[in-house]
Amino acid sequence: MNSRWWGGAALFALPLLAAGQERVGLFAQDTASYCTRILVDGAYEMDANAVYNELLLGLLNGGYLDRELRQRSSDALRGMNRLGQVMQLRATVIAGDSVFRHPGLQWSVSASHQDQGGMRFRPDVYDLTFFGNAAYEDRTAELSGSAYERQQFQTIGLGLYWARTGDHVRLDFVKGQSLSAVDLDDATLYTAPDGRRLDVRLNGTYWQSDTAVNGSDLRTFNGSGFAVSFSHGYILGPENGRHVRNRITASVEDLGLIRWNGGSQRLQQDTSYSYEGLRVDNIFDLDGLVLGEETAQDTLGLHFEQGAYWRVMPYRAALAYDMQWRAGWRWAFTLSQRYLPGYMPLYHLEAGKSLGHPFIGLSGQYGGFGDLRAGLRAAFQMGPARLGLTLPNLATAFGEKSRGLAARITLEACF
Amino acid sequence: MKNARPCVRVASLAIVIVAASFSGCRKDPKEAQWDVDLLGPLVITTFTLNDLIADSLLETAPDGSLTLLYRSELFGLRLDTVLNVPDTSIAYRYGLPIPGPVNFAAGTTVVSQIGTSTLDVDDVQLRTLHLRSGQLSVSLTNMVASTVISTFQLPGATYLGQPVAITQSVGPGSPLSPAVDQILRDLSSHQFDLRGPDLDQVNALSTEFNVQLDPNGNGAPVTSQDSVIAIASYLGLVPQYAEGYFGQRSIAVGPEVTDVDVFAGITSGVLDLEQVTARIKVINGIGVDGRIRINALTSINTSTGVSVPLTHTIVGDPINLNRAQDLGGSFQPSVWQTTLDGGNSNIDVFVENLPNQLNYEAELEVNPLGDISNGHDFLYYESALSAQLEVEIPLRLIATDLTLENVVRPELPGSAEGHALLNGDLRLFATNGFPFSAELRMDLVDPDGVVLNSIPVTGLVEAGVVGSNGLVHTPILSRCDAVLTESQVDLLYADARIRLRAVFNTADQTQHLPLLASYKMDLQVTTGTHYLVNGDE
Repeated sequence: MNSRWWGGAALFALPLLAAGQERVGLFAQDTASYCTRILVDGAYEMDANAVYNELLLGLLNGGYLDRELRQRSSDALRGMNRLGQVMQLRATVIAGDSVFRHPGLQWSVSASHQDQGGMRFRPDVYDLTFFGNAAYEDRTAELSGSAYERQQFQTIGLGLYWARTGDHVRLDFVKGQSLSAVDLDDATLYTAPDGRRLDVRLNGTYWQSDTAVNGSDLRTFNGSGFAVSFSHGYILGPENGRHVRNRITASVEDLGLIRWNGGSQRLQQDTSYSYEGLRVDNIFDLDGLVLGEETAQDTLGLHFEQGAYWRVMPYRAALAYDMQWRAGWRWAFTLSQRYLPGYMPLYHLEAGKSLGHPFIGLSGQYGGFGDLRAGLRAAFQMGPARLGLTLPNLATAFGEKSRGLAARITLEACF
Repeated sequence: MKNARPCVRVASLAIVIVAASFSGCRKDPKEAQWDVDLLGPLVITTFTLNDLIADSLLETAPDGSLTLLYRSELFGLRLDTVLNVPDTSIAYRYGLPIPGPVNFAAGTTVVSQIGTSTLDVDDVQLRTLHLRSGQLSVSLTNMVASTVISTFQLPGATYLGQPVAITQSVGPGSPLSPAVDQILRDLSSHQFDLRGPDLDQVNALSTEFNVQLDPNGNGAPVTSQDSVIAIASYLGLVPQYAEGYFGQRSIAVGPEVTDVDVFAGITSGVLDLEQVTARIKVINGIGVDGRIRINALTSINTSTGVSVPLTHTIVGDPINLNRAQDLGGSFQPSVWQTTLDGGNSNIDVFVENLPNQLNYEAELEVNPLGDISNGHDFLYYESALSAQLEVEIPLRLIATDLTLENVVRPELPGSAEGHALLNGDLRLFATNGFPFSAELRMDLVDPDGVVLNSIPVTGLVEAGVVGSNGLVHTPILSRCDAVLTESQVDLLYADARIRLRAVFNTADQTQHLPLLASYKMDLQVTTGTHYLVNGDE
């Protein structure tokens, strides 16, 4: 397990971005009907249920991570740990008065860049990674059940938007930039006394997009695919004296597949191996003995298969219930799940009030990559534009033992 | 669309935000680093005597005991020493002896020369020469105003039983603008009778050179200025077989040094061998009688600076060598041989000096009794006169501080500027089935072998348990530890090498212990390494 795991995991994975966000845009449908809308939406979220931000930020920012810092997160580990990070940046244009002769049906064009990753891991994965195996002398490190996945991709798509209800559907073409994933069903490492033997039990799979090109370059084209996103709301009852809305909404984002190209690598290993050192023929002929990653791979028989394969994108599915009162109060409950290792169902509750144009709300959530989090959401209108700010994790984001960072900014204009 | 101006403003803002966000994504900060402690096996191997001595030098007896058989050619005289045929050129010129002009009709033979030239082979009187390779180049220069046709014949030469002749045509020329043509002929497998036209000479190349004006031409007026010149050159002649009298002469051999690699790597210590036997063979594959005198044969150990001259009657006394026997197409060499042992020589001391070089000096007299073969000395391309040393050493020995040295340069990941390997320790686990112990010493040396730093090694590889029969019956497991500090690791990255010395001592210093083919030492090196993740540059 190398730093790319952790860097990658810390790099992107998350959004649990709030109730009320299951639908496109900030404008209430009754005020925004039929206008042309431009939206720019940027979201970043990093969270973990055990590892502290200081470690994740250290991995992201580079530099030396001292032992005390690593030890603090180690001390906080649980039986199974989770972390992840998601970055999404999307621009959308919604326009038109009617499509297919349906008044109020608008078309939309949307492009996004996304970088999502998550992992679940046992404490031994962490300790082996950050402290090495010397402390495991004559002990077995348990790594089973750990998994990691990170996908970077860009999308561009066309969709339909029902202005009156806020429902939408979109079909995206997806350009795969990079993929790396590991799934360890069963893995242990025993370090014999004095390091005389390493016993490896490994049943797992590894996927990696083409390493011959720079996977961190946005221009890299390592795969392609298609994804669908939609949102549909059901009104649960007629408006009455107090309620203006009482609705349940189902939505899916980026449900699709990417076919990673022929340069991609895959390794499926189900083996037990006892390693006693690199076998040399003659102890007096050690010149040129190479001690490196490739030598270790050869010795352990880790030979990658090269070829194209399909892989499911890290889609997100959500079910939201929201209710709005005529006095401006509003509350919403959302249950969502993201298809990434280490992500557990996210329960999110939000309550707020419209104060004329501005909206202020408080939120609480549990799940995702993290634990219990509390934050706020606000929206402001400036002429034809609205700015939305969501900070779902304010309560635990600061301090030495902080966990999780998340923010979402949405800029929307309606003409 | 309504509100077009705000639309542009918002779109511009959106573009700025998107651009800023993406440029943020492109940031590629230096990767995080942290130190870890790794523990694991590094290298595993089994050491046998074959790691020290090549299989081809070891002979195993039915009881498993080993004998070292070492063969080395002390010196060899080959074809190029005994017979060297230099490149030879012969010129033929024709010019009208009167001012002229004289009109010659077409087809007139203007030159007809028969001659004999001599091969310049000093001290050797060749009668027959069969060539393995070589070339004949004939360059013809024509200043006559007619095409000329030349014929160059070698009456004494045959190729596959046929006479050898070269014909070439050169266009018309003039004294101011001569026409030139050159022909090359491969002389491989050509046979020359060098006895001349009357079969009473040696080293003689008979030739016949004719030039006629083109019979299909118009003839030409020839003056004294018009000449025809032919130059025949014999180039790169390598004999396959030569016969004649090779002369009565002396050839000095050496003084010269030849390398001995059988003890390579042993830098110091004492090796006491129970028995050493050596044979010196002189093999004469040349059809000449000879007399050789070995003036000196010395064992040199350049590590210790000790030289041991061989004392035996072979040194200084003349050795008469019979000529090889010509079998007609091949030969049977004559062999002279003598055996050296502890009773008639100091060969044991000579060998126990653990030489890495042998120095020799000898003198060879060819045909010391003159031409007693009546001109029938011979040699083949494969013929040689060589002296060989064969040493037979049963491996029953006493080793005292016998030091074996090896310098290794492991290929480490990273660079001197940045490397993940910070420091660590090496642990050697040896299960020794040999009857000698080994003390390990490690030093860091520069490319010239100068010691930069020493790596202390604790522990000793203990000898296997030796029974009353002098044989190891129980291997012993031992452990040695060496710690590499951070500065020593830095030295390794700065082009230093690890010099490993093993000092061997046989378990019993009072009796010679045999080494068996079955003896082995299982070795495993493990390491505890302090490693900086993402530290390699």
